[in-house]
This record gives sequence, structure tokens and C-alpha cells, in this order.
Amino acid sequence: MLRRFLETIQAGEVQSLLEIARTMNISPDMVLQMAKELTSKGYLQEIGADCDEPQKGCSDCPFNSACQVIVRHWFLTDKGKTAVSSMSMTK
Amino acid sequence: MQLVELQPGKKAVIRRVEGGRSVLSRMAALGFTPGAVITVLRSSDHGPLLVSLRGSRVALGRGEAAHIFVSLAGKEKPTEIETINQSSLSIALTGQPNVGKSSVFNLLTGLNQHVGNWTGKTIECKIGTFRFKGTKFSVVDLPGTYSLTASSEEERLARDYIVKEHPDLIVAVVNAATLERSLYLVAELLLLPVPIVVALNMTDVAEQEGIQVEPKVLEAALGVPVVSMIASKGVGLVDLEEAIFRLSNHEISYQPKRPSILPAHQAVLDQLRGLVGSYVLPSYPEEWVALKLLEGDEELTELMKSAMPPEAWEKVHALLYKHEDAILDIAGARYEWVARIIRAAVVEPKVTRVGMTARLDRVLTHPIWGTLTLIAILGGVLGLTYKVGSPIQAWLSQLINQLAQILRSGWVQAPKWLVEFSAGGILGGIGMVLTFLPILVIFFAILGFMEDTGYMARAAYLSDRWMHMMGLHGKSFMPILLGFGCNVPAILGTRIIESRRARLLTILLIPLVPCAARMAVVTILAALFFGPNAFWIAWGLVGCSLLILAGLGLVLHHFFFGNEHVPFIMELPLYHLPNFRTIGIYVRDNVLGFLKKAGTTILAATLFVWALSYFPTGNVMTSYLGMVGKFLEPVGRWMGLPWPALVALLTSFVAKENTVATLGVLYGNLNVLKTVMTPTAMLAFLVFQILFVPCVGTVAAIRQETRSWKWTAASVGMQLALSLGLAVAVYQVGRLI
Repeated sequence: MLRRFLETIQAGEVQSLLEIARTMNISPDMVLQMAKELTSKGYLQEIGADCDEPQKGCSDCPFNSACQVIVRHWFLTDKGKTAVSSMSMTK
Repeated sequence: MQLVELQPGKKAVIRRVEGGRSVLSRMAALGFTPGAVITVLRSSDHGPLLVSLRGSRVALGRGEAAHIFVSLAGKEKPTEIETINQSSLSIALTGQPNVGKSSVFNLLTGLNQHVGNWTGKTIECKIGTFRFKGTKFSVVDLPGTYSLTASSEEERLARDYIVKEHPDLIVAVVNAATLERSLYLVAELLLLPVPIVVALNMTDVAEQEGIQVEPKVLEAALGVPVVSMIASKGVGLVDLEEAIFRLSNHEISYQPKRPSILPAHQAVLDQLRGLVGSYVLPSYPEEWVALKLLEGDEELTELMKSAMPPEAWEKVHALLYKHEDAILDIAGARYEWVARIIRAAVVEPKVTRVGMTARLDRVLTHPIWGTLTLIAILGGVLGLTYKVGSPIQAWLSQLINQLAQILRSGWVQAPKWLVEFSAGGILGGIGMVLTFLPILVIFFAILGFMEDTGYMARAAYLSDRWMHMMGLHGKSFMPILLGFGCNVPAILGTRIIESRRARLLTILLIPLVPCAARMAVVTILAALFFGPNAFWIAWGLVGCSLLILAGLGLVLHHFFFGNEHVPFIMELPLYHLPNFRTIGIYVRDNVLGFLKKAGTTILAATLFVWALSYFPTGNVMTSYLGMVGKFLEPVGRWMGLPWPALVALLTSFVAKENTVATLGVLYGNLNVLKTVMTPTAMLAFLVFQILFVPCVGTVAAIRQETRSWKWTAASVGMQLALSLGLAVAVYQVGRLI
């Protein structure tokens, strides 16, 4: 299932976890769990988390909460891309 | 540990015996029952074990001995948990956070519990006891854990306790309303040689949400006892105690249905087990260690590396390296196992939030319909802000002017500079900024509404799509997107870009993104300059900024990122009804933040500007600021701007909002601006403002991230040239029309 998840990510440009959940016929909760697991194993990289932590200058900015609208993103790492290409080679 | 792992001469206590009914009855007939003391007299790699049990010597095949689990007896200074466990059957209570684990613990142990700390840790450890049908059970409430990967201190403690202390039984508490999330942990627990009872808690919450979980189907699918509970109301306690009692007395056959492993990986696992087998610490289950190594578990990898001679570890390492991606199949099989069980045992309501979100998203995240909706919504936001906020602002502005008049005419005994300081500096500057507070309150209230319903994330999602279409692919667009909030974290966010050249160019692009502060100033000034047409002007300015950004982005992408394909996924929350308290907090936080800035940075800058505009003569035209202004006057003429407007722009370097405050100090009444500037000049001023040099915080971030004054100067210079060039072009072309 994790391999299918990686392939689905690679196949698209920008996709939401909800779209992937629909494609894979599983719940968004499970997709999120898989994204976290693949992040911990180095296949995905999560970005946007930087903004969860106040940055230098944020505390003085009256609009700092505007940054919170930036939602979490994940993209394939080199390790993830290699795993996907090795899957397609196997096929 | 298993009996086969016990060293000769060591004494241990039998904790439990596993296996089918025939194995259990044979073992019981031989005296191998929980609580019996056993000593290994002879053991070798092959052949039977000779043990001393109840005063007799018994020879036991290694296969049979593998069914018997023991813990060492007579260890020096047993821990608190061990002391309790030795006199009773031990139960580890485990589960994810927020599944009602503590309620189950309290229900089982009542007042027979106490709280301590894990040895050498600050994490709380709760231990308690209970009796059922004459048997005493000790319960350890393990820290909440999402999995057994030991990625946090809590997870490490929970895992270590289960793996090293070998409790007699595990009670896995799962939340019936979010069963899917809880089952991954169960899948991992089932791999350990400890029997499990699943406490299906919070069934009332699941029912309220229309989720039906079938405990019997779940039990059949898992192959372990499942007890339905509402721990917070004391429902299901006796059933849980009964299941614990029966399982610990082997009255229930225990045949867990574990997630499968691909045959190819099973062969690797066997090979790995053969390589590490003799080095695995006695307390660890060998097969589990091999599996975790194949999954790339960092802690166990380090443990085994230090336990094995380098040449033996080399072989293990080579095997693990060759099968590095095995985790995808092993963990992937667990997810499939969870999905299969959910499909079998859980009936979801027909109308769910997921389903409704999916239907709404078909329109709201559609490339065309979604974008049109976004434009309409953002247009509505600005429109409503102007429609409701502008009249209130105009009234407040009038009030401030009247107050200044009263101060000037009524405070005749005071020194002139003090009167001007209060009327012109404080009221004219900071007071004028504060008159725009109603506009900001409305703006933030709508923004908060959009965020709380889950729509704001859709706006970001659509932006992602458009940015991809504009060429801002890859890792450069995420920081750019962040720049719409504030440029400072956006500059810092470029750290995700590995290529220095691409990172540098992204840093140069970010100041072109209109941050929230710039947007606020443009919103305020557009309303002041263009009244009912402010909406179109503000939209046009943002659109122009984005077009410039897109043009430069295309160049950046084409020449420096080499059309790199970097697919993304992003998290979109489910839609829900807005919570007005949350929106209120959102507005309050933002308004307080604005007031804090108004009372510190903006106030200081305003007073500084006032002092420069008052001294030494008391007349702005002959003041220090007047001298600087006259120096700038020729530049202003290219855009039809009077020098106070240029000075106001210069002060925006400290904070963007200073533009409004400075205009307030220099003109007193901002409506005067309409008499000293033509509409074309006003438009040129707004173009200059939105593209002007970023604030000092952003410039400092650019310096910090590029570590170069040269590039920092290049960024400031580029921005200055662009804003000046376009403002001049707007004015000169506008004059011709």
C-alpha cells in the first residue's frame, strides 16, 4: 500500500491527501498516517512545519497568524523517487 | 523472556505458557504453570533443556521450551513495577493518546493505584492492582504511543517495557470512533509474544458520530478477544476483567491474525534472524528484532551494531542495505491489514464529513470553478471590508481631527512643541493608524471565518496549482506562498532549496510577494484615494504584483530549476461549521498584535518623524525632514508625488504601516492628500508602495540567509529600481491618457 501511495504522489503535480484517499479508497486519516511514516523513513519530506514554530521577526508581526494558513506539504525525496523508479523498472 | 533463553544455573519464575490446548494441558500436567519457579540445569544450542521444577528434574524439548515465558527471579533490587509484578499477573495497558486509556486504568484499579516516575525519567508512571475471581493482577499504565517505532521518549518507554519486561498480557485500548488510527499500534503489538485483549473504548462517541463497530467481527478479524467499553461511564469493566482472566488462564485460545509478510521478505527475515540470532539480547524476541532491523528501526540497529562483532555486523548491514525498501512492503502490509479489518468491522454513516467535503471540493478545488469561487470570495472580502469598514474609518478620522483641533485651540498655556507633539505627533500619527482598526477587524473576521471552516487551506491549494501553472514549480513556490503572510519566514523557508543558485533567486523573488502588512496598507490607502473604486484598484495592484512574480518565476524555473518535476501532496482539513469563539480569538490575537506594533515600532517611528518635521523651526517646510524632502522633490516630480509622500514611503522601511502614520503626521488630515495629488499620482504612489523595498526585518533575513551584503544590496536595489521604474511609468503613461 505504501508503494502505491508513493506512485500516486509521483503521478500527480499537486494533490491533496483527500484526493489521494479517494484514489486509493482509504480514509484521509490513514493517508496522513502513511505520509508521516514515509516522512520518518526518509521517502517524503514535510515542509511548512517551519511556520508552526515562530521565526525571527514573527513575534513582532501583527499578521503572524496569517502564516498559519499555509498548510502542511510533503514532497518526494530522492530516496522516494528512487523507490518509485525502481518499482516501475520491476514492472 | 523465553525459557530457551535462560542461562544454565539461573532461576526464573514462569510468567505464562503459550500454545494450543494440547500444548497447554501437557505443560500443566508437567507442572509448567504461571508462578512456578524454574531453574535451567543444562542447556545447549541443540538438544533438550534439563530444568529443575517443583523439586523434580524435567527434560524439555527446545520447541516445547519456546512456549514457556519466564522472568528472572531474585534479581538485585527489583524495581517497583517488578515487585508488584512478581506477586501477581502483570498487565501492560497501552494505546494511543486520547483513547481513554487512563479511564480504563482507573476503572480497573480504582483506588489501588499510585503514581510515580519511570526510573531515571520525568515521565509519569501509574501502577495499580485489582483482583478478579481470586487472581491478583498488576496494571502498568504505559505512556500513550502511536506505534512501536520508539520515535519519542514516551514511545521508547512503552516499547521497552513491553519488550524487556515481558508483561503477562497487554490490554490495547482503542478508540471506536477512530479505530483506523488505533489499529496500526495493535498490528505492531500482535508481533510481540505477549497475548492481547483489545478494549474497544468510546463506543458511545462512535455511535454519536453514526459509526457502527461490530465487536464480534473485529474479534474474528483480529483473532484476539475484543471487549466493547465506555470506560468514562464504567460500561464494560466486568467483560474486560473476564477476558483478562480467561486469557491469562488459557481458557480462550489465542490465535492472533497478524499482518502478512511477503514470501520474498520472509526469506530475508529468516536469513537476518540467522545472522543476528546469537547476538540478540536475551530479553528481546529474536524474530521481532530481525523484523525491526528490516524496517530500519534506528534504535535497534544501533543496539545490534554495538552487540555484534564488526565482521558479523557487516553481513547484516549488507543485507539490510540490499533490502532497504522492504519497509514499504512490511509497513504497507500493516496498512492493508488495517484497511481490511476496517472494511469488515466498521460501518460508516452514509453521510460523513469526508463525503460532504469531497462533494464540496469537487467545485471548490476545481481548477476553473474553484478559482472563480476564490476570486469571488476574496472580492467579497475586500468589498465587505470597504463597504462596512470605510464609513466607520471616515467617522473615526473626523473624530481624531476634531480632537486635534480642540487640543490646539484649548491648550493655549502649554508650550507650542508639546501641543504639536500631542496633536500632530500622537493624534495625527498613531491616532490616524488606529482609525483603520475597524477595517482590519472586519478583514480578520472574514479571514478567521474562512480559516475556521477549512476554506483557507483550499485557497492555498488553488494557489499551489496556479503557481505550478505559472512555472513556480518545485521547492521555490512553497516559501513564495509563505510570503503572502510575512516575507521574513518566507526568506527563512528557502532553506529547503538545496541548490544555492536557485535559493538565492527565490530569495530575490520573495520581496515581490505582497505580504499581509503591505496588503493592509494598500487596502487602507486605496479606500482613501479611490473611494468606491478602491476594490478594483486593490485587486489590480495585487494582480500586477503576481504577474511580475509569475514572469520572473518563469525565468527562474526555466533557467535555474531545469523543469524539475517535484510533485507535492498537501493536507486539507475537512469542512466544518465555524466556531465563533475561535474566530473571535483569531481576530483578538491579530488586532492585539497590530495594537502592540502600533504602540511600539509604529509609535517610535511616528514620534521620530514628528520630531524631524517639527525641529528646529517648528515649521515642516523648514524642518530637518523638509530639507530631506526637498532633496527628494525632483524624484517625486517624476511620479507627481509631493515630498511628504516619498518620506512616508521611506519610513515604511521600518514597518510597512508607517506609511499611513507618517502621512498622518505630515498632513494631519489624510483627506488633504486628494487635493495635493492627482488620481494618476495616487495610483503611482500605490504601485510604488506595493513594490517598494521590503521592511528592515526582511532585509535582515536576506542578509542572514545569503550571508552576503552584496546580494542584500542587490535585492534592495532591484526592488527600488522596479518600484520606482513602474511608478514613474504608471504616472507618465497616465498623464498621456
